Amino acid sequence: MLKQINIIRIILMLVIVFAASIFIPDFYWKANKHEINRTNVYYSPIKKCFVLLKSDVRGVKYTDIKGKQFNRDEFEELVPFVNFRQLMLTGKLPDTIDGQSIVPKEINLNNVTLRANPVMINSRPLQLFPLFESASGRVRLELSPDYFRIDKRMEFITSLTNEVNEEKSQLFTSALQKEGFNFPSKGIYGNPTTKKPFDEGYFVIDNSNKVFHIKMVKGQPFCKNTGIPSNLGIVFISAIEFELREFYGLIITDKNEAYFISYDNYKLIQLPVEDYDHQENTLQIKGDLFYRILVVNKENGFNSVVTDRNYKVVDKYNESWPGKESRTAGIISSYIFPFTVTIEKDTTPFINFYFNYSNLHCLFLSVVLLIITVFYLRKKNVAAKKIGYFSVLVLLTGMYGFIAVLAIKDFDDDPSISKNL
Amino acid sequence: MFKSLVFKEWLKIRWVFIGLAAVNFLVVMNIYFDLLNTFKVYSANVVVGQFQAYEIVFYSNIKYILLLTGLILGVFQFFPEINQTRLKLTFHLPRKENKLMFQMVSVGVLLLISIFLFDAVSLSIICTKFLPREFFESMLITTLPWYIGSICTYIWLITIFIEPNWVKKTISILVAVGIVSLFYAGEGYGKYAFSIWYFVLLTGFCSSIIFLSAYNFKRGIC
Repeated sequence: MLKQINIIRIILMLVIVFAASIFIPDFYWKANKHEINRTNVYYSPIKKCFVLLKSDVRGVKYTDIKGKQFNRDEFEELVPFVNFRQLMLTGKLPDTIDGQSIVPKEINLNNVTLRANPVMINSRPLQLFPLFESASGRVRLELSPDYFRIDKRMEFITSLTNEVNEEKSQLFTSALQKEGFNFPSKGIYGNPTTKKPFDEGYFVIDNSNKVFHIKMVKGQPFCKNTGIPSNLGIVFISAIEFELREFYGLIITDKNEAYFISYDNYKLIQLPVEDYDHQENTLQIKGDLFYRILVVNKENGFNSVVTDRNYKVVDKYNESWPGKESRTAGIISSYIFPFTVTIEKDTTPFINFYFNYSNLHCLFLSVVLLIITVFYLRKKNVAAKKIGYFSVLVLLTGMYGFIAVLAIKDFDDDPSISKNL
Repeated sequence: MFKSLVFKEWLKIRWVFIGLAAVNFLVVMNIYFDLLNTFKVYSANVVVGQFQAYEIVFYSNIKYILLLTGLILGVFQFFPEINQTRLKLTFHLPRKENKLMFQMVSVGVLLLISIFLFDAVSLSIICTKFLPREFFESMLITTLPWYIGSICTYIWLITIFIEPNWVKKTISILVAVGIVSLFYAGEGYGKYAFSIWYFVLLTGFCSSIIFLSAYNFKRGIC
């Protein structure tokens, strides 16, 4: 009985340590939230250099990388492809840049933006997708009456009846089998919205890591093995339809590489991204008539690479700023919290217990609290063996363990001793 | 003696149990009619598409009802025990307080589980009637932490009720509020898919703390 109670007391202390390591740091960071500065990176085809739009709670600053500031109108003229509608309104859109005539329709066609962030990569949406009719002859895409899944076969479930459409399922399954698809699928990537100019269907990774392109053309299956290497280690495909029809989408691999899937028979174009970690950073790709800008956004900075339309590097620019760990609140936290536990994280949509360990700075406070604990427990005449256990707890868990020791309060546990509380 | 104890607990909380089961039934029916009406207003493929794309948790009404179910059952089962010092008499029975506590708590947990089973089966029927099986599978994993969170609430409430020391009671309330809130975080489908077993383990650890409170209670009244 006594042994059991002691074990439960230890469990209670561990639960207190656990709860404290979640809620005390959470409260601390709520009280010490720092301002967020955002930087949008552009490459000026006029000045042939990077220009930055920096914004915070106080407002917006337009600068180049040397710190020269511009007003809004000057900035818009420096990046005419981004602001072409405003420049058309004010009559400031140049007729030519570098000898190339500038046509608004062409600018619009060539402006593309893609993004891949860790939440998109780590998300696990319901594996049920609408397959649009890609050649309906209508201006707008229409939502299909059924949704598909790819398990042991490709199955279409009619939404109205909630039953499998056998005919369509068999048609698509046999088309996939003919193309060499190995069921089930490991990942289905597409852009399941009707708000897009046209439909390119889905890119599906089969059980042998081969990538297939699947869409529906005039009610018939279009299934094609893309020939994308199966050893690429694809973790995410951002498939977005652009009128430009230069690439189907963006592939991110487990080796932190990024590729475009080109319209040229699915040929891969490797993008020169630098210092990118797909589990931590957001990759943003902005394209215009002349350039492609690849920006890797991190918690405390960004790397940007600008390429020409043939993906040859033209220029690079990196910037960093103090992360929350380097600020005063972060330095103090490294002294007071030996570790923190959060249940939510910016890089994943899933709830879990995410442990963040502090550096050795926290030992200072842990040792001070350890000394206080030893004095406190000795004063309460706690057995030396127990003082040893509690000391280890305080040394390892710092203030959390100290709170747990104070919370437990009474340490005499002989059930034969009656005690009126 | 166990049968007598179960009967005593049942007599004490039967009307609360029936009331809570009725509330859960009404909430499930409300979810059913809401979904039925959604399918009457919008075409089925639009509903499925919106649910899938925006991870609309159409059964979210049950989330805090489950929390309240555990809380209310705990209050009605143990408040009279403490307020009318019945637990003192129970602990004088020729049984160890751990065993008695375990049996009393088991009755409450089993009644909670019976309500949850009803909820889970009803929601599963609703899900599979209207939506593809992916929604049913995600519903199970989405609602699971809410059920476990309700049991955890019930357990912490008992721990707090029977703890005789006010300082420890206050600390337990703070820890309980924190721990229980962990089960109800996140929006969307299956957010606890990779961590549900850690939460089951946490509930298991928290359950054992009841015995420490019971030990303290008995020691306090000796």
